[in-house]
Amino acid sequence: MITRNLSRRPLATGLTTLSIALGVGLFAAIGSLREASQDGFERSASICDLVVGAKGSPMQLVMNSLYHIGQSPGLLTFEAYEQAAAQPGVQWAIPILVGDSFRGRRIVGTTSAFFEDLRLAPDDTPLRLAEGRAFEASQAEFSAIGDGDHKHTDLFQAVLGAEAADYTGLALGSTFIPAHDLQGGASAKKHTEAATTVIGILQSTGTPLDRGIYISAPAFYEMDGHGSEKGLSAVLLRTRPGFYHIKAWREINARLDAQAAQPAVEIRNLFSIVGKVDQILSLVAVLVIVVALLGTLVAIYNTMGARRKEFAVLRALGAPRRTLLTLIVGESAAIAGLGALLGLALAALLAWSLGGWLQNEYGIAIRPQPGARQFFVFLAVVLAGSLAGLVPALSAYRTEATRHLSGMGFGFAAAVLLLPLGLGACSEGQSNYGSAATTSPKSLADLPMTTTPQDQWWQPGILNQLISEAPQGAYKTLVGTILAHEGTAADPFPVDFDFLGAWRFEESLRPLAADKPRDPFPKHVRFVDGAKVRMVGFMLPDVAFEDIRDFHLVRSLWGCCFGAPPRVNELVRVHLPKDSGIDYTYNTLELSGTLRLTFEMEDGIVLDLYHLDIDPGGLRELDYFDPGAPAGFDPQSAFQGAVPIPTAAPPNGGEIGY
Amino acid sequence: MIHLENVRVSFPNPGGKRSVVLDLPKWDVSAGRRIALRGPSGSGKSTLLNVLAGLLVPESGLVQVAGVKLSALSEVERDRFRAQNVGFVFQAFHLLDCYTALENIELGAAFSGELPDRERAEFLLKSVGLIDHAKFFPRQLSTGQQARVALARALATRPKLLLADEPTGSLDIDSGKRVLDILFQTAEQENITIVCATHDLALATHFDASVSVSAGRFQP
Repeated sequence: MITRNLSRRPLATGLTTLSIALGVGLFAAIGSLREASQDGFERSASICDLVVGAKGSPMQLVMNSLYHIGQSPGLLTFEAYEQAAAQPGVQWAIPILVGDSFRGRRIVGTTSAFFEDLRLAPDDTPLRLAEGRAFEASQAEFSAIGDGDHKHTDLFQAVLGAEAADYTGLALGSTFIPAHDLQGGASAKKHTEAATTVIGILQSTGTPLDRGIYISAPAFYEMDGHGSEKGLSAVLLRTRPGFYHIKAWREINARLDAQAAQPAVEIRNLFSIVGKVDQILSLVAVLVIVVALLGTLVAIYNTMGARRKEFAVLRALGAPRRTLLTLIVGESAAIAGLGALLGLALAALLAWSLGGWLQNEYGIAIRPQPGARQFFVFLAVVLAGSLAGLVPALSAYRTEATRHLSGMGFGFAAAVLLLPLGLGACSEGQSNYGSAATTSPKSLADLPMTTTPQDQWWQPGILNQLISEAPQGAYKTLVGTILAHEGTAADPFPVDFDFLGAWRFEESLRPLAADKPRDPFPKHVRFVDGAKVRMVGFMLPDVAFEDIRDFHLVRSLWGCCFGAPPRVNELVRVHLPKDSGIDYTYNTLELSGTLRLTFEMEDGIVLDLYHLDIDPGGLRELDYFDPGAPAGFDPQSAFQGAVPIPTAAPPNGGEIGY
Repeated sequence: MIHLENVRVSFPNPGGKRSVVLDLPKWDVSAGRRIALRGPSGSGKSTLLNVLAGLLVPESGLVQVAGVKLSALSEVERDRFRAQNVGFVFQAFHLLDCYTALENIELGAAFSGELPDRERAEFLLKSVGLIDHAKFFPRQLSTGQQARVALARALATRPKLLLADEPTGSLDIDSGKRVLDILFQTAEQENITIVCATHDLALATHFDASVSVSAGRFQP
């Protein structure tokens, strides 16, 4: 039932769902990207406990050494390297030498320990070669360089990270010329003396290690300009767990020329800064969701008026009130749930796209996974959607079937019930006939229930005042037409339904003040009270069809029975003289007589406002002509069998007109 | 089937007094009878139908339908009673437009607590001659066809009491007669009591009894 109801309003449902999806998508993507990128950075950070380098910014040192971002803070001396490596509990110390690049990927000088000792979180996975082999450069060889007692090499060999191989297009056996800067631009000095051959390619690790081109430290020092001032960019250090880590960190930081940075701490610091931004973005996303949910509330609430009868029918079929409540809350929750699911899918798509970019730019592979966070986002949005649906749902819950079954044939009693509450308003074009009109209790209680003396309306000057007060052109014309006649039997006022119905009945009942009742009839209508009038209209089919003495006169046969029904001030109760009853006819009637205005209530029902006492001989049956009916409307076929067809031709075939 | 005793419904009017809209000292209708309620708008016909359906509780008096004292039930119990025992036919039919003809009929029994009975719905649709229109939506049906679906919906729960308000009021003579025939035939087969409000004198003659209602009272 819920899906059917939503599917019949595809645009509103689609737009509100989309709004929620965008909000949720933004919110989830921000969270997901932050989590995944933090995870990726931390995974890379976990390959060592400490990064040792020259004094400077620890974050700069970590970024440069582990993530290939930014510049090195400076060179670390061999002596500092030796001291760091000799700290108690150090398991391995891997030198890192940077400064050259090839096609935008950094060349890193290191030792064999880089391939043998590094372990990746979370499973302590070692680096693995996808193809080829690693170069050989022992720690002892490296230490000998510091001592100035080493063998020179002309063996320029490289092992490429997976991404670097892809990016540079180098394959196993390829040879390349390193550039003497970190960008590898065309203008950079080329190490032509160090044509390097690719001898191995690493498997992808999802860390910035994939972006490196690794050569042996001895080879790095053989390049022009590297050997003049021997030093290191950084040392990656792993200690045994516990005390050793802190001790090494303290000892190294005690030096004036070296620092030890804790990558995990630096990454956390970095994300605590970035986190402020994503908190703001998340807040914006939450606001988007809230606005979208309010949109859902409004969209559903706006349908309430049109759905009252549907609810009334469901109530009549036995649906308890709580079913209506559940139905509307369910619709809202379904929109929210659907929006949340779409949003989460959108977030996954966004994370996947941005993840690719992040990996290209920084080598961080992010793997957004649907997890508890997504589940809770979904749950929270559905819950919020349900809460938003409560407002219209309570409105549906309060639907009084007896009131809204009105117009289906049921519901008069409720209309009366609501009368004193002023809730039974009949809208424009809706029939007041047979039901109670709306007003406040005080006004009706104090209203004169009979016609008030109208002599004041006949006083000189009142007529001109009527015209001057008339608000609209058509209204002026109506009043003007009336005033052109005398309202006598010889010259009756030509009154029509526009004239009689040109006011809102329920509005007119409101008192001018609490203690000041108001004539329910407007001046222009009161003006013709008691006067002789001439009218044209149609007989409303009623309970009898023969020898009719009293009937309702209506503007149009179409309006009475097929189109918009007449309002209570668009009905005239016609009283024929004694012994002059007629049979039902759908032909046009022209009537002359005295118009009376009454305002009476019986058992809570407003009785007829207009009465026309027909003068003897004051009824003429004309040819059928109904300007209010659509072209082609034929009462004879429309009423076939329902009312008797006139047996005799109308006595007079005339035209209607005043 | 129906037993009303001293049922009185009134509503406060603006003067502070209460307007009596229904005042029935006693009314008994035995099972299977077909009763027409006649009277002008506002005479109390609809109020009586609402009272019989349990949608409206009189301020005093006894309302007993199918042996159940409706006046003693809570609103939820009356809802359940209505879902299981009362069928409605509205003048404007009021089929739900997002459901097919068959689904609209099934909806008639949706709140009765019973499992959906597709066979019954199809049987009824066949009875009203619209089995070929099972998947049609109300907007795809003529007025007469809608009336027949509405009638089938009212019969979906095998109601003991069927309340109708001008069931043929929007139909031409042929369609109205067809609907009435189906209604009476099914009512006879399933011993359904019918109370029908109508202005139509001709329609009223088809019923076992015709009661004139005026100002909330039965007229002789």
